[in-house]
Amino acid sequence: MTVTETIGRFRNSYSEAFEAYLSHPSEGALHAAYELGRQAVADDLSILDLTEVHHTMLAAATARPRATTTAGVMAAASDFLLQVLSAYEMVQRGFREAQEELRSEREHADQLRRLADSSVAISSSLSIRDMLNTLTDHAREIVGVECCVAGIAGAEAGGPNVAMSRTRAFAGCDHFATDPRLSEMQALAAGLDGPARMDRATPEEASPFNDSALDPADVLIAPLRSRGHDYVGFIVLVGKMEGRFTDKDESIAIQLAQTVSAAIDNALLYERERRIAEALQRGLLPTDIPILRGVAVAARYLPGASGLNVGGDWYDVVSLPDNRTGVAMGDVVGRGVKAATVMGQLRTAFRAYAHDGSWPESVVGRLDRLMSTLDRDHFSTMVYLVWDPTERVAHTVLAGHPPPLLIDRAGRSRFLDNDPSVPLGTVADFSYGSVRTSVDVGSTLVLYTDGLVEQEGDLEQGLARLQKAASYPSDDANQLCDRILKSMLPPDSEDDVAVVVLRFLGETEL
Amino acid sequence: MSDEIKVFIASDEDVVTARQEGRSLAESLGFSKVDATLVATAISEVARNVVQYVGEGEVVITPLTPGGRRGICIVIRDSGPGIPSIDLAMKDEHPSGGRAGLGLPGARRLMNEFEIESHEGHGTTVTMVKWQGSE
Repeated sequence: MTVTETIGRFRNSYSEAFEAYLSHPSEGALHAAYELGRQAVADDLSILDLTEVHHTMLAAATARPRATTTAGVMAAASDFLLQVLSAYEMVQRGFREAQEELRSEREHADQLRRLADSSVAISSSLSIRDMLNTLTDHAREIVGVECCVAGIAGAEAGGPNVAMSRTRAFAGCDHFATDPRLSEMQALAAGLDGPARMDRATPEEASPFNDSALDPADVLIAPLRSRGHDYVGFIVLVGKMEGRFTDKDESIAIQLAQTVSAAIDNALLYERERRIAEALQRGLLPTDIPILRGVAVAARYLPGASGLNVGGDWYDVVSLPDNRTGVAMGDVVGRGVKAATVMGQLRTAFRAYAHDGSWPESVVGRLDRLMSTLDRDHFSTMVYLVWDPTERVAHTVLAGHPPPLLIDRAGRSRFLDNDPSVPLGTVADFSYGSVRTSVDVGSTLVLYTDGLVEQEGDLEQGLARLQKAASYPSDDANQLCDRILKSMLPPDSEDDVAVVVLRFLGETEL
Repeated sequence: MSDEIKVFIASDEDVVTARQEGRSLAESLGFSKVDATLVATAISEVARNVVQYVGEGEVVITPLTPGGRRGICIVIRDSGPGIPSIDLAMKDEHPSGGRAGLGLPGARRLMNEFEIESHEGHGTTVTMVKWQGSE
């Protein structure tokens, strides 16, 4: 049937049912109107066609002489039309419902995507503080809340292990990040198995919500638990922006809690190892530098700020026979406790070999042979410089280490170039050579590890920046040391860095 | 309950009676003309299925007046073969609707509360409630 035929047939049925209702307004005639509406829907008749048909019929009906008044006809026609349109109302509501479902499905898909993004961001956080900041920001955005606070077990108020993210205007949960509410929150979360809305929980202990203006129904808490189900922290969401917390919000909280729990587990392990490595490394560096003839020495060691890159940077300054001074610096490639241990062995051996009074290239050669027997997983770069104040010369041996920088008293600088060399323990029986450099009174030498010059990834650029930072006349080794570090390193440098500055003094300054 | 109205349904005329009873009660409870029309429509939509697919059944209409609220409860039951899958019957694509949006899911959307219970071989009961002043 064509559309025109369908409308024609509908027009006839409509005319019949409408006229019947106008003559005898009855429920039976309204039932017929309802069936007409159903039929119209089933035939895909547009509501415009329907309206047009109705108005034509109504016009004809009012034109015809009849017992009822025009007002009566109009009222009856309205009842009839209402009944016809109720079928369209059903369809319309179904359409709205489907739209709503679609919207909610899209929203859910979007939330899942953002959850996946959060998992990646949380897992790649460099520290617990980072991780908690990421967690609270993401949780707040995904669930749509005013405020999110998260902390790990035993965290102290104001410490690095509590984080809060909130909208600027919302201060209603600031007290959760400070004691005594923080410890109450920990106690409450530790007693929970999974996420809980606070209107449903009946905490027996001191409640963090005492004398709080918050509606408990507007607070969602989830404990963070380790693989062994130990309590490792909590996350609390406050102030749902739209409506109330739902079961879906709880499952998002579970997801985030699981991701962050696993990450915290790993981070705590890592953090423990990092602390040991750092303590070990610090313990192995010289606590004080000997007072030397004709040279002022300043040294610095900075562990990486994120704590991930505690490495094997080391240096040492030894007083040698004939007023000579030996300065060594090295970088054991590899991270953590193992690298720090290798570094310790290397430094001890260096002291022994250096005190023998051997030539610097022989000291480095022996360390190379030692390194190759120590550990196949690690190798080390090294620079060893011996200063002879009698002849005013420095003998430098490089083993794959970046070259020291020499700055003369006028502030002009150059790197002490050397023949190509290899790190200790990499090439069997490599023959290390030394470079002899005359050093004038007032000159300065800078020794450093690659962390100083590889901040931006490009070694050439790093060396140029160092040359610029160091190339100015300085009377004070400590001052120059600080100046170099300050201009070369970003505040949160990830790599560890060692720097030693030697300033060569004149006879009058001895 | 004393004020419940029971209508036996086996034909289109009976469906009309059930509609009439539902509409009258709704209007006497203060329902708007539009809402009373939607109540009658929901009765038709469910009752026509009973007449068409099972042959007979009954419609029980009861006023609800808890705590000052006014509502109408409509129970439509049959002792037919039952609906094998309610989930399917409540989907818009089900043939009983004739067209997406009609049928049982259509009736559900016109009412505030809608429940359907069916056991194979033991018939089907649909319980619907609409409250006065609610969409």
